[in-house]
Amino acid sequence: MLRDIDPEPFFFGPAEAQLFGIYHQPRTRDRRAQTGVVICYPIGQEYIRSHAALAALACRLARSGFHVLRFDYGGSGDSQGETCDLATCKRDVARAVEELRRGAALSRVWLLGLRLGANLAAEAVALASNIHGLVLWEPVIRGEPHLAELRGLQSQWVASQCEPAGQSNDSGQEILGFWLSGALQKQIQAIDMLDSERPRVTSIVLLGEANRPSPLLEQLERALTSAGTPVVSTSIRSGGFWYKVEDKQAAIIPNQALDEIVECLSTVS
Amino acid sequence: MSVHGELTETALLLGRSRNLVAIVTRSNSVSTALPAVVLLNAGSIHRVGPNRLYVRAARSLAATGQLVCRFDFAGLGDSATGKATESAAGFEARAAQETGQVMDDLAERFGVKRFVLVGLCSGADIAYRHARVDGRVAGAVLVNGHLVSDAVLRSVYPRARARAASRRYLKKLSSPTSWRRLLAGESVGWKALTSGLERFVSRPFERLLARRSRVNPEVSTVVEVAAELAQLAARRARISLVYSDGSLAYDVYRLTLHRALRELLRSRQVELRIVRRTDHVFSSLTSQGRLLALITRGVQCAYAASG
Repeated sequence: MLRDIDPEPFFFGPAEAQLFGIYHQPRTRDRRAQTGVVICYPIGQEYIRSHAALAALACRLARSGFHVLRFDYGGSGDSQGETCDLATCKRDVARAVEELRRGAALSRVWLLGLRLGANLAAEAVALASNIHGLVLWEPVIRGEPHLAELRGLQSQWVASQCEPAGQSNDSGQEILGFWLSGALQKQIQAIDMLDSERPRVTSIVLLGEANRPSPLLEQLERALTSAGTPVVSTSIRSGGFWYKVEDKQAAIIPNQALDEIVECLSTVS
Repeated sequence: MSVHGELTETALLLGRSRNLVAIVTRSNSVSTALPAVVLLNAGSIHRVGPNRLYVRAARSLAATGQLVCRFDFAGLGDSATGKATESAAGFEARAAQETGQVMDDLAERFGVKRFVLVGLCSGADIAYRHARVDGRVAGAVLVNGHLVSDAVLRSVYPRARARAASRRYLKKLSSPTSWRRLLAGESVGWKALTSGLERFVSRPFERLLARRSRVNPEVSTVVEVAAELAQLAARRARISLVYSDGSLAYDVYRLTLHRALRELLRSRQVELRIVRRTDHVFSSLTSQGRLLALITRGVQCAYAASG
């Protein structure tokens, strides 16, 4: 049942920076048949670990009547390029929105992003025309602690596996199987969602982890609400499947959390 | 279709039910005389491979003239389950069938006649399973595969785990970083040290267990696998067995196939390579580089052997 929606794989975007996308056609024809959702993955190891769950989410959304586009940023997944850069990824989100809007002739498009994908979704609102709403799933609210967390996970991994410490030099650092360039580290470091321009959308859904309440997420909710944006805040139990930890090799699909997300989006959209 | 430099990547739906999402990578100078390379899902990781390794492998091999295909088995990654998935066949049997269907499609679309299968973890097991029955397979690069039956795997698993843990704790004892962490009072180090000593003391017993394993019933299956590999060698198919020493698959190999394959390894049709100081999915960038080199070598040797 997880992958019962026929996927349509394709490349899109300019010839020098082709992006790989998967389009899921809606199964039902109701009011949502005019609504599209572009799914924005995290990057690095979190991308690898969340692919299965976000693919399953896309199928569920399509089953509920949404047009869905998942795509890989330049330098990630099947898209062209070797490394990711947040500025380019943001531009890629805007391209994916236009692709879905044009391809399916849609009037309403939502962006749904997980972790850094949520940040990219929020920032792409300024680049893409007429984004209706945002679903921000465990966004990286402050970049500095996120980088520290990634470095901590790398150290734990190295210690637990007795592996070499990993490559690190002036141009970047190895983090959980991927090269994090110095430029990308600076871009992540600069993230502060509490102090950035509020995305101009009709509605925002904030998804946090029920087992790990985040004071920063609550602050973000207050900041967005005070700016006049209607915010729906929901706690789900996804178990943090995007983390690379010892003895957790398999991709995990948090079925109940995915159902809750579909229900939430069906209600607010 | 995505064109970058000399390389072209095409997104396709392959398989009998046209439900298998695939990316075919080829260069302008692609040669259909060379065997095409098919990369099989590493466990449940989608076709980009662990740490995006399969994408890099595909682009690097395609740059040397090979046609390379990465695809997702039904129900994995981006592939829809399809009708076949609902059949009673187990995952490995079904995945092996899908591998054959993808090879049929590649032969029809691109005119390739020979194939090299590359797989990591369960991908290696499926590659091996299909290589046995499909004469078009000129070679296989089997990375951290178990190859033996589930029954044998279940039987040796506790011993393989004990063996892997012993090795890991011994590595910790010889690692300056572990000692630094220990001296800094980090509890992980204490745990490692105490467990390490415990394992160190228990090692002679594990050796005894390993010796006993030579006379238990799993031996017949091991002999069978060795015979099948010999048949592949006789068919001039080149098999590269690659293991990382941080993978349990390496310990399963040592406890099961290693002794039985000694003769075959001398024949050079079957090659064994161990990548030291890395985990099951080649997390460190250094080990990824080493694995990419071994895959390239395995593919090239398969071509030379089938030539």
